[in-house]
Amino acid sequence: MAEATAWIMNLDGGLRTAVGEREMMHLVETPVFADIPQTPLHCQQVLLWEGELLPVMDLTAWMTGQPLERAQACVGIVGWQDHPGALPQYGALLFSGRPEKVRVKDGQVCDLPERPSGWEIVAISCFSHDGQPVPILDVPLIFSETLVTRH
Amino acid sequence: MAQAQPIVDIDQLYALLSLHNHALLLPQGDIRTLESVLDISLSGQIANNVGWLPFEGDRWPVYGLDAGLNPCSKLPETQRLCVLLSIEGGYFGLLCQNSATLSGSAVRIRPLPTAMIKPGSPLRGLALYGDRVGLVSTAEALAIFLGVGVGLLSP
Repeated sequence: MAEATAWIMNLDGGLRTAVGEREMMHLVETPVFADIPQTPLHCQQVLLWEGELLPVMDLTAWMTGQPLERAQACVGIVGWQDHPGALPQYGALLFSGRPEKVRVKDGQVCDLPERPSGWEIVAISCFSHDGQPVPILDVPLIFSETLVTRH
Repeated sequence: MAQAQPIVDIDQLYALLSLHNHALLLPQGDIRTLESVLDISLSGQIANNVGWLPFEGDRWPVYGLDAGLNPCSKLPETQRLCVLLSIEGGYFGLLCQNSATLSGSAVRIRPLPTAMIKPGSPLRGLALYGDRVGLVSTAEALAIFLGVGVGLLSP
């Protein structure tokens, strides 16, 4: 049975989500953001990282309409490639508290949570952990224009 | 979304406008002149504008933006400078706290990240200068955002 490593992150409202180990590049525990006006509710800030301005994705805001509480906010720098050989892209995922690194087996695959309905758009699969479903994010998709057009 | 290479044009000059706690960068060539807010006439407001600025024998609409860069109908108290911007067919004014000039060699421009593009936004990019983040736009983009119409430019 195959295994993989994932990072589980807490969003607000009891929501949890995960990304693959290879997608999580760096954790920023005390992020400093710059507010950018005239941007979508779920992506209104940037983070300066390694000389680049990364969009800060607040999935809590997109899923629930309410921004994530910033008091314990943590950011994960995620990376992806649009296709093999392409230049890597980076974004910042906003979550609460420290993420948890777990090993996931094929046998843990489960259905996506029915609520909120947005998981069908942003998640590529789901696994069960501690008796709860944890959707795995489609990282390239959430940093595309999709979440703006399907708000 | 391809990772955008920074735009560094050492020959380009930018006007850096202070708007609340934001820095708005516009191509210097979009700036026609700077005037005092005392020169603005507040009578005859239409749509989003806060008043009119006389220039070259005509009157041109003047706009103010709040901290969220939304048009405001009242003269913002802290903004004492009116920047007259050139567009096709005329001009319009934008209020700000102050203005400076920034050399292209001192700033790195990035396109606005795809996930941050909001329909109708006047932003065309982000700028890094020193350790500060600025907002990049153009006179044309602002005119569209503010609804500056050629027919309304000079009543």
